[in-house]
Amino acid sequence: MPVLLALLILFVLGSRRAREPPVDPQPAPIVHSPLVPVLLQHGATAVAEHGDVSSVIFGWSAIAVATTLFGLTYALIMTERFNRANVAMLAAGLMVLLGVINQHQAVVGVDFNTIGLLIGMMLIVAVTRETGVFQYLAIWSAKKVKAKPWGILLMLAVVTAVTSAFLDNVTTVLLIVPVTLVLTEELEVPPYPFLFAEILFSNIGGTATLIGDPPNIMIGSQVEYITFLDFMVNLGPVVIVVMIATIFPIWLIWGRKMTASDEARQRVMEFDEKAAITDKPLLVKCLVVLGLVTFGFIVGHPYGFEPATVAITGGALLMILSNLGRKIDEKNERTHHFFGHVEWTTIFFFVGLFIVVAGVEHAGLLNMLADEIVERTEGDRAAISIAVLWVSAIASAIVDNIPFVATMIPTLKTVIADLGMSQSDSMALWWSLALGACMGGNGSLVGASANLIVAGFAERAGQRIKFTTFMLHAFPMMLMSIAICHVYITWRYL
Amino acid sequence: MGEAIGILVARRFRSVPVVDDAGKMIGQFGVHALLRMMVPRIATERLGLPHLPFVQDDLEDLRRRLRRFWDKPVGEYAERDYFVVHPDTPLTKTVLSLYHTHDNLPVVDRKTGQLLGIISYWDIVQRLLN
Repeated sequence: MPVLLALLILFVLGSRRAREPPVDPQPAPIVHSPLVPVLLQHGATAVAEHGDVSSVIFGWSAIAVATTLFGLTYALIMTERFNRANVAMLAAGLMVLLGVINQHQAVVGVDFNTIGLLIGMMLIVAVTRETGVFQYLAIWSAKKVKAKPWGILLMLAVVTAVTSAFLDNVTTVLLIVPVTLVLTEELEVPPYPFLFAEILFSNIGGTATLIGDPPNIMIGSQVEYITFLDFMVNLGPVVIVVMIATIFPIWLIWGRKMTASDEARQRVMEFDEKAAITDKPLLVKCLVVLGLVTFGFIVGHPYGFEPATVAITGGALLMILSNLGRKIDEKNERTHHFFGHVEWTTIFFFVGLFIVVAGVEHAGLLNMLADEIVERTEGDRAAISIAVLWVSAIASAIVDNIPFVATMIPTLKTVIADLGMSQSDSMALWWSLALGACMGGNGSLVGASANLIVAGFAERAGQRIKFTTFMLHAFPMMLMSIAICHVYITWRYL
Repeated sequence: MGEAIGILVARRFRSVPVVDDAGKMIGQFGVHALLRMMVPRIATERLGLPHLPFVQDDLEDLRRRLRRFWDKPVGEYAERDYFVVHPDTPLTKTVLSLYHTHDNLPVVDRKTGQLLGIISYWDIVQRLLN
């Protein structure tokens, strides 16, 4: 229901502006990804050759077409009757075919920094998972709480949050969820509460650092004066409070009723965590590369090395290291195997979604939303910060937070410049955006990439997570976390 | 499921076709699915855990996992991705399908999807020798 309400608001805003005199659509912020310089150069020529791109067929209003496509895309995804990637790709194609954007704008709309980061980390995970280190960690945690289901849920949630802060969320859930499914199957308990907690804690934990979540990566990348340490010092404390607060509703809904037979717990206690480490030399290589990649994330930014570059380079290096001493045929076969572990369906879903959002953005819908925030707050810093926090959270639960943040960063930069805010005064706005966008991702299954990855795992394991069921549980908890952030931002920065 | 497993074991079939009440083929159930039921499910899924060296189990654990499926209808767990041939399928194509699947092949009516019979590699080899 909140999604429908928000969509309705977006549509009403779109219809209202559509009747007003024509507005020049603002171009999408160009992401200076190291992966697309050739495309950008080519695209610049394409625009010059083909002129204005918002010439929608049949004289329809670009904003009406974009809003309708956007609404239909999300409605179809919510029905769960179609594959998400298929829907997003079809909608992306229609955005171009109906003339809302041209192909160049569609390509520029895709955040290749995020796509590259995801693919790079998926490749690193594909190699690292063979060592069994995360199975070791999960089983060790489970045995520490004597295989009690609630204790395991808590331990895995904390492990997920801490890991998410230093690896990206997708990597974390790719490593933790499979072993969670083994544990819940052996305990004969439903896996949903565990997966639910892991989704929430991966997004909450990821909020704590610059590299923990794609919105933070983008903010850290595009706002020059915010450092890695700033993120930890400013967002770390509230992340811990939100984690503690989120535990209570999970306990109330599932935790207090969680039981497992002594026999089932005994089976888990008999797991041999040391046996999980299957390849020690490979584990050393993985830890070295993971260390280098984390180091690259932390120090690379001032030198212009974006996370995609670091992750893709790390993935390639690790594949080469893991193949050392093998024959070329075996190297080729293993490389093919590692690439097979990239979640291409998720990657293409993101590509499609980026293009759909680029269409909505080019049509002016998201900018109108941002304009409304500034207008309604009358340039008041406190009001803007709180509005950014809540709007980011609600929007991030509906649309993916990555394209949303990509839109908000230049908008906020303009607002900060217009209002003549100092760097220290502007921090409240950036932290509001980071907290709202990262934690808002918990509001629905499409709110963050990690959510979709977990849903994919659950589906393959025969435990499908329904869009509406998840939202019913997650959305109120997301609102609670944003209320806590609201108090924190007001107390510390306003 | 128990009955289907009984047939597989008693006749040493690698797989058996599964049909609905009208005799239309809806899937195939075989040793592949049977083995999958004996291990934690995520071990057999893509991006899952292909090896489970930390699981210390015995015959009773395998039996316990299999028991969960025993009373379930076989149609729920029949594999949907399978090879079939039709009465008019050329023999070379049929032999190639047998070569790829290492298994007997259901013969299905092209129009109605009705299961007509099963062809095994022995059927073809025996005809050749005769």
